[in-house]
Amino acid sequence: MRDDSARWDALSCIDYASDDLSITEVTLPSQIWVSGRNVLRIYKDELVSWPGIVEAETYALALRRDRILLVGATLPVSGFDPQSGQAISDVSDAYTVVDISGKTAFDRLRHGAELNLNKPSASVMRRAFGAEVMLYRVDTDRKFRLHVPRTLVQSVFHQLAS
Amino acid sequence: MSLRRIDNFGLVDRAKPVSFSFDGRRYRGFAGDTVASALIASDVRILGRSFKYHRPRGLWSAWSDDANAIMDISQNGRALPNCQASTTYLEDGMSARAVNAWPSAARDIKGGLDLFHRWLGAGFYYKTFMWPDWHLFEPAIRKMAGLGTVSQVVLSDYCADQTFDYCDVLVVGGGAAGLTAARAASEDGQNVCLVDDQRLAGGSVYQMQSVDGHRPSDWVADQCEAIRTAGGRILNQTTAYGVYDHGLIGLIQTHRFGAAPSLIRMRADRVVLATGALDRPLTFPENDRPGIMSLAGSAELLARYGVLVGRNLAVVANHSLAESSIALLTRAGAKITRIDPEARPFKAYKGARSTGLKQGAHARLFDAVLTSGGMTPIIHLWRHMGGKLIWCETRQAFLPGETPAKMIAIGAANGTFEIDVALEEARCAGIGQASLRGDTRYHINALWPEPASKGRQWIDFQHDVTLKDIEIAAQENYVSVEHLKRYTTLGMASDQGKTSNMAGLAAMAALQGQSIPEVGTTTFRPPFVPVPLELYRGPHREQNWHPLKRLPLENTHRAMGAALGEYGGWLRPGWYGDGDPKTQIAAEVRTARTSVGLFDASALGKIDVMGPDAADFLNFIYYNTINTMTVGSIRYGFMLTEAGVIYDDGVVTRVAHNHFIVSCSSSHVDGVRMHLEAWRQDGHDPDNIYIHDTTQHWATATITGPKARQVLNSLGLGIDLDGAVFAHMSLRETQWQGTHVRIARVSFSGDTSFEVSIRASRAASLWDALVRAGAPFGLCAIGIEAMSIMRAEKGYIIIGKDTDGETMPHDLGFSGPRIRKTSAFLGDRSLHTDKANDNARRQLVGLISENGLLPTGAHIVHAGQSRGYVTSSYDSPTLNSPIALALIANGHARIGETVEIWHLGETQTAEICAPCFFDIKGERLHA
Repeated sequence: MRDDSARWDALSCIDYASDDLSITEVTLPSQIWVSGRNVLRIYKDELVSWPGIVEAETYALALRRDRILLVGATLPVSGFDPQSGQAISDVSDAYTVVDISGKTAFDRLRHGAELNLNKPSASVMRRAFGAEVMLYRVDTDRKFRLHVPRTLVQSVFHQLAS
Repeated sequence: MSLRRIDNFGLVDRAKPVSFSFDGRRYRGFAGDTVASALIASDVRILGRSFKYHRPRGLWSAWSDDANAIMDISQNGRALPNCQASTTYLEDGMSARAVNAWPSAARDIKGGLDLFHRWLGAGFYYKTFMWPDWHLFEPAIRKMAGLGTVSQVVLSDYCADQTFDYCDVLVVGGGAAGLTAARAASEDGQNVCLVDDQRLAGGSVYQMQSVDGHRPSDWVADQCEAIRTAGGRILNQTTAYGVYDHGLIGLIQTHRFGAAPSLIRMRADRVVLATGALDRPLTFPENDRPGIMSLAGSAELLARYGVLVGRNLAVVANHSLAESSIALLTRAGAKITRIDPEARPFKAYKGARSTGLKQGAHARLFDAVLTSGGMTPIIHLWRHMGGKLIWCETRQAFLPGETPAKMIAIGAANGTFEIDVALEEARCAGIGQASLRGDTRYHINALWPEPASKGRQWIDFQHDVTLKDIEIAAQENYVSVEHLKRYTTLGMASDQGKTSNMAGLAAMAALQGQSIPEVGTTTFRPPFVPVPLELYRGPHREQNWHPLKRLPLENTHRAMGAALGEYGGWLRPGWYGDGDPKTQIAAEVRTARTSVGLFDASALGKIDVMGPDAADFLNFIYYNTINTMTVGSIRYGFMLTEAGVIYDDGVVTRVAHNHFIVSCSSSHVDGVRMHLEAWRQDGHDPDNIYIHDTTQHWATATITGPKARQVLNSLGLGIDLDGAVFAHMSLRETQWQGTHVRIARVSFSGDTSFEVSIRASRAASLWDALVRAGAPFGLCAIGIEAMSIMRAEKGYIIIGKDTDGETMPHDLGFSGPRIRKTSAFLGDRSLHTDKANDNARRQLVGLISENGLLPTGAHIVHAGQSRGYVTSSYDSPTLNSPIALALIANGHARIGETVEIWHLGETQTAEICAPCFFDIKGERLHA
């Protein structure tokens, strides 16, 4: 039983900018987990893996052999759909989405994540700065997008910006 | 400046003199010197003291294989302990002090300990100091143990940078072979990273007269330029110190003195090991005397630093590579006297400022005695990677054997000691072609320690392990090399076996009548060189050291004056308000019991389990029956381990026929998710069960107390909250201001409660609305401390606090499923063992004391034996009396008994009662 309030900074906005690094929070319309036996095949046209570059507003992140994260899609009903065999959960607020860009963006990320642009991977799941994140690129090859578990985003942001 | 500094030798910058001190005396060196080379150049012979006997120690070698010259070094107020003088580059203003010596290494007051060496052999501390009591001796021994002194000055900016990196080919070692391999690989178009631990790459190349027809320094410069031109990277002052899981290689890069090193976690498709070989000592009486040093080390001192260890030198070497070192020393003006190493016995003795060698009646004095017992390939990383070793009788050394995936050894590390062969081998390795190890021109006359020979013969210079100690270990049956190492401390500390291992193994082999390969080696473990703990800490400090999970409502709680603390890995409000915490907490309990309290339960796990097999899956996972639940119902249950022990508790909600929500303890969210995933993937059809941990998507506000329903009603949720319609342990889903909300009628307080869950981004709006709606009823926010008291009043447990690693459900009074559940469930078998049915099992009960609050953790004792302990204890604001929960042997049958409670030497009594003190009939809970 101890008051440790002062030991922890209050939650702050995810926003940092310097000459060669920019970190900003992005609000996406939705994030939806879809799990199912053939889910990778069903969503193959929208599928993004590492080190893919996303340009569309709606896309699907490949997470594992039976799971994707639908980004920006219209929210279907959460639960299990027996017809498609898909389990669906809205996790729009489970992940804070952060864009990192600038000359040093990749180097900053490599301070906390094992990344190799020359090694394709079927999944965008990565461990970065101690958190299980989804990581890929958007618009350009120098802009990275992280989906960070909301409860740990302060720590990840602090490490990225420090 | 110094007679030992030789013109035209060395790579130091003689235009940049550097001033420093050692043990209080001022010295000068040059930029590019190490502390050790500058001291040897200044004719300092004693650089340290050994660990146990405090014997004087001179320099053994010129780089990381020297464990004799260990120093505490400071500069500009920055002090670092236990620096290797041979690998610490000299900087102006440095102040060095030998560790384990006072007032100086030359005149150490504890040097007299050596007189008692007969009583201080291997394992002496296991055998002595037993009577009358070890603790009498312990403080003095502990004070003497350990090396170096940590400065009291905290270096707040001493922070190691940590990065991940990748390359196609990692070449470890920047000697002739490493540079050649790196060049070949770079020019082959591969992404190459060459790491070398010294300031200037080149390894022992500078000892040669020429390489490939070029001056050594020109040749090295050419290779480096070619590597960089082809796109390769060269990391100087960088040591590959270990190979970890899945081939991850740890690199430590050092910087200026006082700056924290950098950690590079390197992943490489291929690793070329060009780490060279070490000179090993010869074992003979008094071989630890200052002035006796490695032949290769003395050549390196000359080649890199222009330091000649003496003009009158003896060389005792047993192999062909010694010739090139002797030639180098001779070119620098040394007079060399060759001593036949096989003409033993000979022994060293101390001269005034010289070292003597005595053979029979002949005694001669030398400036230094240079010894070499053969070359030991540096194969530490090879072993870390899982590579096998083979024993080479010709080279009398362990060599890389069967190649581990992704690694190839070249040059001296591979036992290829001839430069021309090594360069060809390196070129092949660079482009990914393995070459077979051929015959060698290197020859050596095996010369290993001779057990039972006379005199004190050192095997491990730093830890004072002698041949006699190896003999003692063998006598006492510590014949396994792993036992030998631990019993004698052979090869521990800075040495890590670099110089001592081979002699130790050979001695044990001789004692056992076995060959060296039969005895084998000890396990090679990282780190190869000492690394500061800061390397691993890096940015993981303060708030980034085990970062807590943060609630979406944290800033709202702060604004309400919450005292935040860690609870199960989350930063949560303990209580609210600035006053005395106990008073605040008691007030929160009273308000919640008499009116209404609002609690942030967002940290509770919310894991979706979906699919056709979800019901049967959870029926297997849970102790309780799940597959009979109706849609909209909620059931409390336990998850057990296979041992039948309670792993977690919580409620399961059936949202739809094939959709459940598992609500688990906040501290167990990640663990429960993995537990479920493990059983899903290994024990069930994973295509019929899906597990989504949605905990972080949701925020949950618990509204509890007799006025809870009225407060919630005023939100206009559009559902009937009446207890007759919306019963305890059921779920409703609705909309609030256009947002989907789930309302669960469950209670952890024991009172009428509603858990309202909403997506996290809308949590603050909901919370504020509840606060406003509750204001007319005197609503207050309650922290986890108040909630803990309320749940204890009701007898609700906290897993891990009111249970331990042996508690089974029937110990808590939940016996039904154990007896009646017919379908299989996790932990079932273990609930029917003799141990599970033992009458003496500790069972959850309540305790009432008339003597005040019982200490949590206090033991329930009988006849001097513990019969259980107090798990939770509070002053109940509701009952105005102390209450406690306890796990007591056969507790359920002992209700009404008075028991003795013992805590820190004091005893009191308490009465055992049922573990429920509030609303025993459940009228308020079900209201």
